[in-house]
This record gives sequence, structure tokens and C-alpha cells, in this order.
Amino acid sequence: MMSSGFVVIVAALYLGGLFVLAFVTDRRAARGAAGFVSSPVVYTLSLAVYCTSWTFYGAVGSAARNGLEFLTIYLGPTVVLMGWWFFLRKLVRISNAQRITSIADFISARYGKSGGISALVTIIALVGITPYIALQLKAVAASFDVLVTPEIAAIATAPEGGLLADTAFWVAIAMGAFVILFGTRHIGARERHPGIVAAIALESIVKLFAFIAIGLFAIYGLHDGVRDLFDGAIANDRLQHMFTLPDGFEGRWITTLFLAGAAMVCLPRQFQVMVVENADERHLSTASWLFPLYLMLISLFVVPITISGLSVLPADANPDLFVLTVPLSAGQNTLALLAFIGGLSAATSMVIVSSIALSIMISNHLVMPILLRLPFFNRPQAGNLSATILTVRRLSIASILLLGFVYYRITASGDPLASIGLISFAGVAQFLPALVGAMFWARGNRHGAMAGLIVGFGFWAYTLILPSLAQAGWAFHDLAANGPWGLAFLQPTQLFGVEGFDPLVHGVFWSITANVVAYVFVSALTEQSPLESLQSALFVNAFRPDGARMLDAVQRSATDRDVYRLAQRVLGLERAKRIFDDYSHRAGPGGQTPASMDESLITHVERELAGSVGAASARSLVSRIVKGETISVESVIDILDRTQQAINTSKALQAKSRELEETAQQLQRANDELKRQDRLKDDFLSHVSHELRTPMTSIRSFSEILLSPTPTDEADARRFLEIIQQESERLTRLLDQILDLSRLEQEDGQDRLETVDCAEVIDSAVATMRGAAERQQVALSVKPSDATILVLADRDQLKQVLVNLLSNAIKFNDNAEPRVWVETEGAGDDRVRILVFDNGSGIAEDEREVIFSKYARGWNVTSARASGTGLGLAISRQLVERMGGVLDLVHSSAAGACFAVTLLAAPADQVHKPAMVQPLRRVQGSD
Amino acid sequence: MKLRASMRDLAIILPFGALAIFLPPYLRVFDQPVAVLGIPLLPLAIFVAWLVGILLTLLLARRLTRTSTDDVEPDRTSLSAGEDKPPGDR
Repeated sequence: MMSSGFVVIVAALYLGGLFVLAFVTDRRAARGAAGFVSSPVVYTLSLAVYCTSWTFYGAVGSAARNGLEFLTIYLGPTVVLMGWWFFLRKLVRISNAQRITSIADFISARYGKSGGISALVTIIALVGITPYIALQLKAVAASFDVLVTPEIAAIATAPEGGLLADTAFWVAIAMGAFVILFGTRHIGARERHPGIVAAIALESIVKLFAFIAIGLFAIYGLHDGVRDLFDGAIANDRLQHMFTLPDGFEGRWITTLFLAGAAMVCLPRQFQVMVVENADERHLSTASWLFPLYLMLISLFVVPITISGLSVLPADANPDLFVLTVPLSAGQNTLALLAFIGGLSAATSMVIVSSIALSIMISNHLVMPILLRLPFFNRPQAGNLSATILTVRRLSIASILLLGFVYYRITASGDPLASIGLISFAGVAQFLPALVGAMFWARGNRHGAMAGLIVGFGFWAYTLILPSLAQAGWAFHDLAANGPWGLAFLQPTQLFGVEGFDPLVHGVFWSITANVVAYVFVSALTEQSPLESLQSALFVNAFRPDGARMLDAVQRSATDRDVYRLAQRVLGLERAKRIFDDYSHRAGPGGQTPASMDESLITHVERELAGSVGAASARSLVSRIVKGETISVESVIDILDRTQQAINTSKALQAKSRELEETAQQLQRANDELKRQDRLKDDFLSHVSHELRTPMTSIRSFSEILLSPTPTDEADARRFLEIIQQESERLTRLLDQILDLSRLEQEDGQDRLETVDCAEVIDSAVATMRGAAERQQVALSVKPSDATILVLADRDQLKQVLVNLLSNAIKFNDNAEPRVWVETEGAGDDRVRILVFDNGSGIAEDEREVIFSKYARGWNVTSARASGTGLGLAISRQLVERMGGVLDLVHSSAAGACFAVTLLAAPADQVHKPAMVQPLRRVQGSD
Repeated sequence: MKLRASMRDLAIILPFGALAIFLPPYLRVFDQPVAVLGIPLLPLAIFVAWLVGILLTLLLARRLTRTSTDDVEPDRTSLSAGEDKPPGDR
């Protein structure tokens, strides 16, 4: 036992030392000599504000009750720090670029600088953190009582006596004074407080040192080294849970690991020291291994202290105070005093940073938005706002501490330290989905974040806070036991019938899943505002070098007087002047403030304002003086997509060029075809002209003879006139056939056909040609077929085709004993072939296809006897094709040729019925 | 360049690997009633794994900062020079 006066003096000296350290550091920093404060080691030590009295006393208590589970509280942050490269580094970079002042500011800035979100986050943080602050005060009071109470086992759980006799009261007063002195001296460029960081770093060293000292004492003072410690422990029944994992530990293990990791970034005080106070991104790389090492050392010495406490102290001793009672039980008062100072360090550092972080959040996100709406603060002649902000901060700090203190006084129940801490962790873990989404999911939006936070907070309060209030016997007892309106499935600790889980696991499971689901779904179903799109692009792409150009997407203007006055009101005369001087210095050699404010200056001023009053308030202030603000989402997207776009464009170009190449080839082919057709046409025209000229010439010459003055005798004149008449007929025939051909080509091939008896048509054609055949002494015959063969055809056109074929065969037959004959045969199931043979000299090989062309008959082979237009075969082929058939040369040699007309056989039941033609095969139209 | 890319991959894999080791299925492996040098296996294994993780993070952080000092330079997002030293009081 120690005299309480002595303990108070030591504690006061220690806290006074902190004041001096903070004061000196602040002075040095103001002179620009930040020195050691801006070193990575100090940064890492400031992160150790994570280890509060909850760690200092509570870790041992947790280990004594639940075994190794206490490790998760330190393993979680270890894993988060190991992921510094892709997570914390991005968080810090974004926050530096955006002048983020708190976690509420971070989330709100990402979601369109929404004032609603920052207010909500602030309220959740306040609700979650106040019990935690109370916990620290309680720990200080309890540890003080242990030191000055003669009986080790008698643990004062309820503050006795009046307010002034309560240690926690004086601690709260001292902390309040400290925070107000060093936390609200001025409004900084960022919310950075070198004095406080230095004090926190020192406190981290003190608490680690104290803890290790107790641990070493437990190992070497109470035991004979490590081996002795564990030898005794393994044999001790009360210590078995320290060396094994109980059945069903998984749920709580995973939950606490998750909560601790989340708390590392979501706790306002962690965000403050890790992100806001971060002076250099590179400090993270040191902290990434040094801070886990710190946590590991603390955890390591939890084990011997716990073992000693459980083996040396009586069974009813409070394990939450083993850190003090273990040395006290051995009469080591100095060591116990060191432990007390360590615990005091842990508690005060937490209270200091939490109250600063919360006061920034309250003033920036709850009070300032309201003040800025009041007409008083909007008069043009309204005074300096920075003084108002500082006053608000001081009042906030006092209120937070008062709230914590009141909470501590009225909840004097003996809740173990760890359970309050974990419920608090679960509360701030509700920020995690919106925070992670802010950095990695561009589509996440304000509505989603709001929905997630509200739903998560609601479930957290219902499943974790409400039962703990009921357990403390305050309220909701009936509701917690039976569910609202007696609905058992809504019971807070067995929500929707989920039973058999630890209440913490149950509450965290429901609140986090509901939070994530609400955030993702509402985000997916709603749209972002342009400002949100811009901010999300800046956040998600924080590592992209062209990020700054996205600001080009914002277009707005303001007069220099307005911007200057605004900066002056919030930042103070001096800083405003410096910003403008810097700007005009950079703007040009003239050194004059430019008349019109361009976007970069407005953005710069808005950032500086955000660093003092938060993004939402800064935006609301700036938007009052700017005109014509537009954010073109297109340009944001444009910048984001530029790389992707380049790739896409080149791909599209390649595809296009391939397409063009193909088109060019097609065009080339079409062109060739056209040229060929054109050439044929020319040939045709010249041939036709030639053909026309021959009869024309003879007509003209005979007419001239007849008209000449020299009389012609009657007989000659008559002969001449006959020739003229013949030639005119030949001309008419030629023109008729040309007309026929072009008519056939233009007409649609769908003629109505009828069933025709082949033999009948053949006989008729042969009869027509018999006269010509006899004149040329050609033997013409028909090979009769066995049965009646019916085809689908146009009778007259089929006859015309056959006459043409026969006529050619007769005309061109140069055999000594010329012979022409016709045969009919079936060709496949539904076709019939009519074959016209001759024994002439055949058709030259290179002319076999050409003869069917309308432009190119075998003109050259036209024998002297040949007369006619040469269009016969072309017209015939056209006709046959219109009947759905094929006309081709099936065989030709020196011994003769054979043309075949293939036609559709008429189905038996379709006799005499007209039928629609289906062409046998697709034939190129123009040929 | 190649070295740096693989370092980056490791920086992403390491925390997840560490997380896996500290989660139940792997953790159960060490939950045996055995003592090594008089120390029960489970706590010993956790602390050894922890220390190894810290050492790996240290090595990786050294490599990453050495190979990418240019990348770690603070981002200048609005005005160009002097942006990182705002004229305000600190």
C-alpha cells in the first residue's frame, strides 16, 4: 500500500512532464524544426495509442478468462499494417490530397462531400466511443484505488465518496486541459498536432516499458526463468486454457480478429494518428513492421503476467488488475507504481486523441453546418470564423469528457473491460464497408453509404447495445428477454431465430452483413451525382499519375474579392494572404493577384478550407460564392478511360481497316466484273452494229440502183426489191430478238407453267424445221420414248427453244451426210432431259460456254450459210431457266455435239394444274 | 522492373497469408499437447509465426521503398510546386 498523496504527486508530475514535452515540441514545430517528431519511429509510436488501458489491464484480464483469444486484438492490426502497401498507403495518399480531417470527413468527401453522411458518422462514433472513454476513466480510478487500498482482493468497483475524491474526475479535468491547450491552439493547415503526437509517442514508450518490466518481474522475480514459468503453468489446472483452443472458439476468434483489424482504421483516434497526423507517406513503410513488433511485445508479456496472476494470487482476484496486483502481492511497490503510470499513459493517450478526433468531427460535421446556416454567420461583415471554430472545438472536448465521465459515474457496474471495448469496436466497424468501398469501388454512392451506415448502426444498437443495457438492469429488460411485443424471433440476442452464438458474434454478424448488403444494393440501384463521380474517380484512382487532370472537369468561377474574404474568414488574415501571394507569384512575374479566379485557385482554397472545417462545410462555403459550377462527368470519364480508350480505338481501327480491305477487294472484284461486262457490251454493240450494217448496206445499195437514172429492167428491179424485202425482214427479226432478250432479262422468272407432253412439243418443233432440213439435205429424226413423258413447261417457249436448237444443229452441220436427231430421257427422280444431237464438227472448246452469252456468240465460226442474229442460244437459255430448267451443252466432239434441255417432270397428280417454279439451281442472272 | 512487380505482388499476398495462418483451420494444427523447450506449442507457434511475418514485412518494406522512391512521393493534385508546404502554421 502507498499513500494516496504520493501516488497523486507522481501522477501529476508525469502529466506535467507531458505538458512540457507537448509545449516544447509545439514551439519547435512552429519554428519549422519539427525534428524527431516527424520521424517514422515517432509516427509508429503514436499509432500505439491503439493500446489503451483496455490493453494494459484488459489484455491480461481477457487472457485469464478466455485464454489466447486476447491475441486477436493485436493480430488484427498486425495484418492490416502488413497490407500497408495497397490499403493504408492509398488511404493516406487520398487523405493528404483531399486535406481530410477525420474519418467522417473521409467518408463524406468520397460520397459527394455529403453533410448528412459526415454527421451520421460523427454521431455513430460519439455513441460508440463515449463508453470507451468512460472505460479509460474507470481504469485509472480503479488502478488508483488498488494502489492505495490495503487489501489486494478488495477492488473498488464503484466510485466512493464525493466527486472531488474521485480520481477519475481529476484525470478528466487534466486531460481536458491538456487537449484544449495543445489540440485547439489554432486551426492548422491540416489537423496536425505535433505537440500531442510527441506526448503520445512518449506515453507509448512508457506503457511498453512498464508492461515489459512487469512481465520480466513475473518471469524472473516470481519464477525462475521461462522454463520454470511454463513448468508450473502446464501443471496448473487453472492455466490449461492458455495453451489450447477450446471447442467452438472459431466464431469469437474470427469476429474479434475482424473487429480489431477494422478498428485499426475505423476508430476515430486511429484515423487521427495514422492518417491525419501522417506527415509523410513513407512513414507507413516503417510502421508496417515496427508497429506489429510493438503489439507482439505487449502480447508476449501478457502471458507471464497472466500465468503469475492465476498461479500466485487468490482465485477471487480481479484479473483485470493483475498488472498491478502481481507486483503488489510481492511487495514491489515501485514496480506497481510504474505499472500505474503505464496504465495512466495508456488511458490518457486514448482520451487525448479520441477527444481531439471527436471534437474535430463534432465541430466540423455537427456544429459548423448548423452555424453556417444561421444568418448571423453569413453576413458579409461577419467576423473571423476560425475563432468560432476553435471555441466550438473547446466546448466539444469539454462535452465529450463530461459525457464520458457521466457515463463512467452512472455505469459503475463491474462489466469486464474487454466487453465494453469490443462493443465499441463493433460500432466503429460499421464504417468499414463505406470506407473500403470509398477506396476500391467506384460505383458506391452516397445513398448506399447512408443506407449501409444507418442499417449497420441500427442492428449494432439493437443486437449489442440494447442487451448490454438490459444486462446492466437499466432498461429494455423485458424486450431483451422476450423480444419486442413478445415476438421471439426478434429477440436481440437471437435475431431471426439464430441461436447458439456468442452475443458478440451474433451482433457483429447481423450488423456487418446488413450493412454491406444495404450499401451494395442501394449503391447499385441508385445513381451518383456528378460531384460524387468526380470524387470517386479521385479516390479510387489515387495512385494514377494523371489524377490531377480530373479536376479540369470542374468549371466554376468566382470573384477574387469573394474568395479572398472567405479564405480570410476561415483561415485567418495571414494564411489567406499567403495563399494568394503564393498563387499570384506562381501565376506570373507581374506579382499581381489575377482578376478572375480560375478553377485551380478555387479548388486550392476549398482544399485549405476543408483542412480546417471538413469537406462538406468547405464545399458549402465555397458554393455560396462561386457561379456556374458544372462538373462534366464526361471529362472525368474521359480522363479515366483515356488509356482504355486508346486501346479500344486501336482495336477498332484494326477491325475497320480489315473491313475496308475486304470492301476494297469486293469492289475490285465488282469492278473487274463490270469491266468484263463492259467489254462484252462493247463487243456486242459492235457485233450488232455489224449485223445491222450488212442488211442496211445491201438495202441501201439496191435502193440506190433502183433510184438511179439508168433504167433497170423489170426482172432485175423485182429481184432487187425482193432482196430489199428479205434484208428488211432480217433486220426486223434481229431487232425483235434483241427486244425479246432484254424483256426476258427484266421480267421476273416466276411464270406460270403447265404440264406439257414432251413428245407433242418435239413433234411440233421437228415439223417446223423439216422444210429447212430437207433444203439442206439433213436427216432429221426423233427417237420415240417408251412412255408419255410429262414436263412442267410453257408450251410455246419450249417449242421456240427446240426450234432454235434444231435450227442451229441443221445450219452448222458440215458433215457430208448431215444428221440431226432428238431423244428424251429421265434424269433423276423429277427431271426430264430432251437431247438434240448432230454429227457436225462440234463446237470449239473455248467457245462452249461463250455460245450461251448474249453478247458473244461464236460469231467467228459463223459459216457462210449461217444466218440469224446469234442471240438464239442466249434467249433459249433464258427461257429454259425461266421454266426452272437448264440448257447446256452436254457433249461436243469432232463427231458431233449434243445440247440438253433439262426440265422439271410434272408430278402425276398435278397434270394440267399450273405450278410455281422452283429453279433447279441458282443461275447467275445476267448470263 | 521485374523485381519491383514481384515485390508488389508479395506485398499484396503477405497480409492474406498472415491472416490465413492466424485463422482457425491452420491454427488448429498447432493445438497439440506438446511443449518445445518447455514452452507449450500453440502460443510458441503463434508468436514465431508473428515474428516471421514481421521480418518478412520489414524486408519487403525495405525493398519496396528502395525500388519505388519516385512512386512514394506525395501526390501533387492541384497547384504544382509548394503544394505540400501549405503556407499555414504548423
